[in-house]
Amino acid sequence: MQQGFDPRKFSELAKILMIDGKYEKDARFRTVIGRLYYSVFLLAWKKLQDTGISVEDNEKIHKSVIEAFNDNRLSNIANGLDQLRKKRVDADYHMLASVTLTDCRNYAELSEYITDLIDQIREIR
Amino acid sequence: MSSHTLYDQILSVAQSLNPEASTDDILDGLVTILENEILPEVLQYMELPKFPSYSAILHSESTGRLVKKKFEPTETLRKRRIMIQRIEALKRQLGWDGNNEMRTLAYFSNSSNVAVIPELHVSPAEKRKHYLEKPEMLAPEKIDEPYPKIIPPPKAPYQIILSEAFQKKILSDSMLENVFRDIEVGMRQLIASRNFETDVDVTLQNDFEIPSWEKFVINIIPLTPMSFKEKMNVWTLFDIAIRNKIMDLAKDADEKTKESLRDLNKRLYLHIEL
Repeated sequence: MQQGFDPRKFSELAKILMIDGKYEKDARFRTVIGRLYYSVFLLAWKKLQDTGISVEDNEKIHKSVIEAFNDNRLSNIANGLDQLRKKRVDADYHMLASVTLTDCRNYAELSEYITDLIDQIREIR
Repeated sequence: MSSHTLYDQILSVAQSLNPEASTDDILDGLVTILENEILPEVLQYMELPKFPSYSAILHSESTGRLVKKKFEPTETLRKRRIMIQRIEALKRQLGWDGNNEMRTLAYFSNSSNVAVIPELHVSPAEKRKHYLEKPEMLAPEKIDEPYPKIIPPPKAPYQIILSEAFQKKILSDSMLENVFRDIEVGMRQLIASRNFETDVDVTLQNDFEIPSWEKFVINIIPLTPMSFKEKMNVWTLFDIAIRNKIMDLAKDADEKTKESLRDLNKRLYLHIEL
């Protein structure tokens, strides 16, 4: 994980891209969902590291991070991350799944909500 | 050689018996006799053709277009139903009780070889009276409603639906079955106490990118419009209620059950329809 890059920039880009008519909308909306998920996921992972929770950096890193929040009584974050992940899987793999501008707005709101929850964490027991 | 019809013969006999009556008078008299004496008897004992079922009509509708000649056209079947029902109504007015056994009318008595009609319970005068009365309006036939309308039971304000995969899972795991029973009770209590209008789907999902990652997903579906903040509150309340149930169960459980509950808690996710 690149410590120098601020994952929030993914979220900022997603919000700009969401309404940028220069790009084809279906590809744009799917990209937005992906960036929103990664923004929150990377912040969540960083928070675990900052609070001393180690997770294995391997092919199951997403599972490890999300489960770590469930396992530490922060299930509201785990729930949100998992829901965002599900939408991201739809956007990236399921071409028949619908990804609309409304979805982008709803998930942008959700990603902000989860980011706020993550930011509020000072320590994890 | 001129042929005399039965009508001519009757008219001739009637004229010879009533020399002062005009032909019109005789014809009126014949019509009256037909209407009052003969037709009621004919109608009462008329054997009706088979009543076409609605399935016959539906069958006719579905096949008629393809095999027009083989099946009776739908419209004919409908008309026949109406006609049969009307004749049945007249027969009932004339004393028919709906029992077709009554149609065995003629028999030879022991005393003579003359065919006689068994005596009816309703006197001829009574029959005439009923026949001459204006028929009651027939109930409109509901041709387009072949079966009685089924009134659905009132919809529950919420439903908790378990996916097939989840049902199979709890059938093979008694611990999970017991835990989920408590979780379901907790959700119902929460929904009832807060008057939430939400459906809940419970599914078992494998992560698309990490297939070995099996998750229990409880999807909350608000049935009424809610703001994002309200949805987040509902989401949090469900999450607290469910996780607390799991923690309560773990309090007095043995180590093995505690471990299973911890694993369940890790793999349990609540989603909300945004």
